[in-house]
Amino acid sequence: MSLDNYKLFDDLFSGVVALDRNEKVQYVNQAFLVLTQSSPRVLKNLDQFKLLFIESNPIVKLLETVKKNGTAITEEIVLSTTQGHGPITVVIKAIADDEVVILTFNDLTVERNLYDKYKIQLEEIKRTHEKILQTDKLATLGELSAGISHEINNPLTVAYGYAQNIEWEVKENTNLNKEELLKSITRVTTSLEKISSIINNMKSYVRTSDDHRQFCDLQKVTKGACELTHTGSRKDLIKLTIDEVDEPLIIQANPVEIEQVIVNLIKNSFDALLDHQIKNPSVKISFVKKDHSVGFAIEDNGPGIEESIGNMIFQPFYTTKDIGKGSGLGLSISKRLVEKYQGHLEFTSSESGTNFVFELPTMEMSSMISSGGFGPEIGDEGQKKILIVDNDPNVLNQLDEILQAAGYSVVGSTGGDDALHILIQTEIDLVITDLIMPKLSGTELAKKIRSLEEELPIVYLSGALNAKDVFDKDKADLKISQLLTKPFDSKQVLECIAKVLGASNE
Amino acid sequence: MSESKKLSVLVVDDEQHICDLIEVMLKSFNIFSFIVSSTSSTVALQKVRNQEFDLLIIDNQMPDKDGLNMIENLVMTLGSRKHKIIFMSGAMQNEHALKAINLGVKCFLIKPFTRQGLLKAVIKALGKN
Repeated sequence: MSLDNYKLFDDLFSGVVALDRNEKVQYVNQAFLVLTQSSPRVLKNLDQFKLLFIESNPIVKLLETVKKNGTAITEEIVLSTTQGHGPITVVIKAIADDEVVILTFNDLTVERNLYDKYKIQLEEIKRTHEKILQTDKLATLGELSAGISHEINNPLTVAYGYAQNIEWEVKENTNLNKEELLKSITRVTTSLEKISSIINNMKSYVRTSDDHRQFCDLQKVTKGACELTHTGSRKDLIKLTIDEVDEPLIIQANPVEIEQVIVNLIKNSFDALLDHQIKNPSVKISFVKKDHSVGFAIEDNGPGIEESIGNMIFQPFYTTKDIGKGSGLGLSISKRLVEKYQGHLEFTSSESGTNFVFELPTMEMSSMISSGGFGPEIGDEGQKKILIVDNDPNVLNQLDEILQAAGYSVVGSTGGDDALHILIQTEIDLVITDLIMPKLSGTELAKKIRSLEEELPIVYLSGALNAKDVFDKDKADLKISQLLTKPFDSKQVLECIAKVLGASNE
Repeated sequence: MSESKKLSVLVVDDEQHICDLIEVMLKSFNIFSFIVSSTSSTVALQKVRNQEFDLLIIDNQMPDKDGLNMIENLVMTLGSRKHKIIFMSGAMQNEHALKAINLGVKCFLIKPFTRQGLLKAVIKALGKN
């Protein structure tokens, strides 16, 4: 190629360099000079092209390959020149014939910088979001603190008073009445327990929420939220009723986040009622259990939300409360949190009150989603899927942790028909079921499973005294593989499961 | 002491535990022969109408009607400021205190209180030694 032909490269946007077989520079285009900020004179005087760069290993390798194969390409590499320019991020392509090697330099510096910048900004947004969540919680707690301190003050008065009585009795009273003393001490203790439960409630509320999902009972979380909010004068003025349902409403979520949502909703209702001085203010909380979802509803007899502002209430920093009384973040955060768990938050409102409802998928649904229950995942074939049926969220959490850590995929269920639905919808390798459950006992469930699947291994789980008897009775009839007794440790569980799955594979 | 043994007192607080505590403390003071408590200000009002008490110990924060309302009610219906009252509160706000003073309350007790604190308040309210 004659030097004249290189003129073709003059106006290209990528840097182009032509070297002879001795790696001496024959031609560079304008783009290359700009990219490396070097002068044509310096380049022409270089003995070898690689001497332009401080860390020239990638260039050396590239030139070796291209001379051997005719073409070569580098990965994304970072270069600095001996003239003090750089670092620049480039991808170099090379072609060669017997006489020349032509290198093209593709500048990625801008893209790389943008990518890094976005990555940093995204992380910053994430951190900010976490901070906003925390700020909302702290602000809410601050507003509730007057009520909470009243709630603490009463048991404190009782504990303090009885402690002084004890002191007086011991010091002054010659007729020590042991029984009376013990009674006083019990009162001190129960009062202190009450205080510590209030403090614990507060602590768990402000705890920064990590991404740890666990099985938790929506009704229990609601109770905690009520204890935080329905305090002090709010407790005296507002009638709060909770319509409980008598089955556990287990969801798979971070209870701290769900509590934040509920606290926000309750506080909004309370504030609306008190600010507008509604007569006979009342708030009613109820729950709905549907096939695939669990619902929470809160209804107040407040002034309602004006239609014109209806859609704005979910926007961050929108508030109708006085300055210092609300951050305007509560509802926008709540909506986000609910949606994070594939749920939704809605409201209906009229002049006679407002009704907020959120629905979350049942834990069966969420644990199926998170365990990839709706389709085989790539590279997941070897993972065994275990269905745990128990109505106690603590047991579910404990087993979930043990089994997940050991590489099993876990689907949780509180029992009854929900458990059977999972069996029909998804492939399960093993069922661990509690024996005593409100709707369907372990034996009954096993019977139903056997009508669906004859060979599916079933393990009984129980802390009951007669568990062994039940197991012995059902062992042959229902082909129950093992009995796991509560309390259990991780070793027992894993050994038991390995045994059962090992046997079923043979 | 024999004369003052006839003294009677009514304790009003929505928390049963606090009523119990005050009763126990009052008993140990050996001043009162008749100690009654009530967790509802409505019921307490009824009791005051039916019977004379030498001392009333009233909590401010109560669900049915707050303590100030009760005192106001007493002053209005029974027409006098003859009742000796200890006004009790967990967090006394200035306006509440002011209102109480205007209603003739001379004695305040902030929760949590000491045994000694209660005794002092009782003595002060009764105006005797």
